[in-house]
Amino acid sequence: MTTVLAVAVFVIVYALIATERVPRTVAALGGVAAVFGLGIVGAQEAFYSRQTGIDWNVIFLLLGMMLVVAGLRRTGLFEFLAIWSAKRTRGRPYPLLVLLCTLTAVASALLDNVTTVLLVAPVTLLVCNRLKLNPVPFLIAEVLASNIGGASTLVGDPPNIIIGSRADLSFVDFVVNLGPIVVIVMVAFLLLSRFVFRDAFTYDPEAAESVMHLDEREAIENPRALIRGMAVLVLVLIGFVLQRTLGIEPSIVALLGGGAMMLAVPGPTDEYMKQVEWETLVFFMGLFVLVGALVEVGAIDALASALTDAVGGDPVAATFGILFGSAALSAIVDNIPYVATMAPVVDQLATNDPALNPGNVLWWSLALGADFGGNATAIGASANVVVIGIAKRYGYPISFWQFTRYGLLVTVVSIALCVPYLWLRYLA
Amino acid sequence: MKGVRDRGALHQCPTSTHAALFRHYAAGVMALDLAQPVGLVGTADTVLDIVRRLVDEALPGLAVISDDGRPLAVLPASQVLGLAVPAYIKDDLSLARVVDEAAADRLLEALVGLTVQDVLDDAEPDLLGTIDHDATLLEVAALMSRLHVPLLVVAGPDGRAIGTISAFKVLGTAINEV
Repeated sequence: MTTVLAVAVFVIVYALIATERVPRTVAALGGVAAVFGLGIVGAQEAFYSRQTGIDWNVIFLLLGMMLVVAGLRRTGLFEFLAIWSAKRTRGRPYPLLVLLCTLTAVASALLDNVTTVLLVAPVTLLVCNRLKLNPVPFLIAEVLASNIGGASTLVGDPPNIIIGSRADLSFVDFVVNLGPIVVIVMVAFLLLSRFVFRDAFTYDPEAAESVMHLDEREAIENPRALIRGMAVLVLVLIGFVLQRTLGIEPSIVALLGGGAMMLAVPGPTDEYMKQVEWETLVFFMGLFVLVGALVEVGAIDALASALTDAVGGDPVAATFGILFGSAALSAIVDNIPYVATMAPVVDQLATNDPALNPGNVLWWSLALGADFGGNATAIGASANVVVIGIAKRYGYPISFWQFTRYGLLVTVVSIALCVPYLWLRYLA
Repeated sequence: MKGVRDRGALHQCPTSTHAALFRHYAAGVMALDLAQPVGLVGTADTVLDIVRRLVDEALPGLAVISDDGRPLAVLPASQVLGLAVPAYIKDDLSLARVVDEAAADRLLEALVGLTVQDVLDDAEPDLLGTIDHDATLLEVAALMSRLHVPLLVVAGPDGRAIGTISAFKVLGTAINEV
């Protein structure tokens, strides 16, 4: 009976999140109240258990990186780089799209995707207005690039943070295993963009000249703060790379970085705190408790056992089943709750039959499927939702299908490229 | 000196409504006493027209009224100025610095062709900024303060706009009571 109740609560919460009938944080906290109220889990299971409780490593890694980003935002670095890039292209639309998308992808590898698109969207509008270009294709391309770039590192996309913590995979593990395929997908995406967005590439020499009058150096108000902020970012990256050697958790690196950034780029404390997405953190906590309840009642074990039987000890079936399934499901529901649910399932699958998981391939297929699958629809990833909201506010509404038409194509190409990569590297 | 009120503006008003109101509220400054018939614009006016009025009449803002004279919104001069600034620059002020002076000087070009109605379609409902004719000086000051607007539109008993009250007028009246 407890199992049925836990699954019912979970399904209801998932449906509420997917249909956006109530804010996702409210849905998650409502589910938490239900599992506590029904006695499915208690404080011990929810707050202190490694298997069934809130993953505090994930929460504090996110918090630390949000503070790092809050400091970087204050420096004007991103605006500087974007305008500098636009001027290097001399206002030619396709090279501009390539440079802005590359900048977005690289930034997304180091920072949260949502933050990256929030930084790049205003400057994109400025440049496109100057060039008399429709900014919509640029905004869509940037969010797709953001989701692609974010797949390459532990901190680039929230699903990766969850996977890294659950599977004990380091920053270097992600870069070494996912970096190459992300570069391949990114190159393919940029080539594809030449054709799918071709209608947007109209060149007006007079308008292009006006871009050359923008002064990117003016974006940086305090060069010393910028240098200090960059130094902190480099130290954080070194910390992530050496995290295993130093024997510290990624969350500790991020928290130290967040604190150092607040000192390096001084600003009102409340301004820093406003940049922390508290609602997202609470949403994550709620998700962990809900998934923990499923673990507690044995539902996750049962699902993992069923999957183990279904793949029949075949790592190829398991890998591509997870890859395709994750891509399809992440297109329909936000990839964060999806991965929060699937992480314990994959963990159990790998534990049940270690032969299914050579070189952690199950984890990489989960990450690639969820991260790239998030591109498929307007609601697949948080960054998509955010960009569509921004575009509407700026007077350039993007419809669900307008986004999905491009996103779905990019997802299909991305996943198709993952198949030979995973096969050749881990399964052949 | 409380209780001694300047009713000059009211006595100059020829309407019987105002005279009746004066008899009813014999003591205390009311919004009606402070209202001035300036700064009222219609929804069909262009934004550039109202910018010219703001400049020519040195007004802190304008009140928008409907065709039948009912108050619709208050447009402080700062909000009118804000209409000329793209939303993406409001979100990222550092972008305002990177734009060259020549382009920056042409900021009002964004308002060409816009009417007041276009502006109202995107306006915050909170900016209604209307106060009843019998509101006290404190009520007027409190609403101005809460809405961060430099003027309010005064609605008469029939709901139609009588005029506007500026923050300057409120302060000028209040200082005499100290």
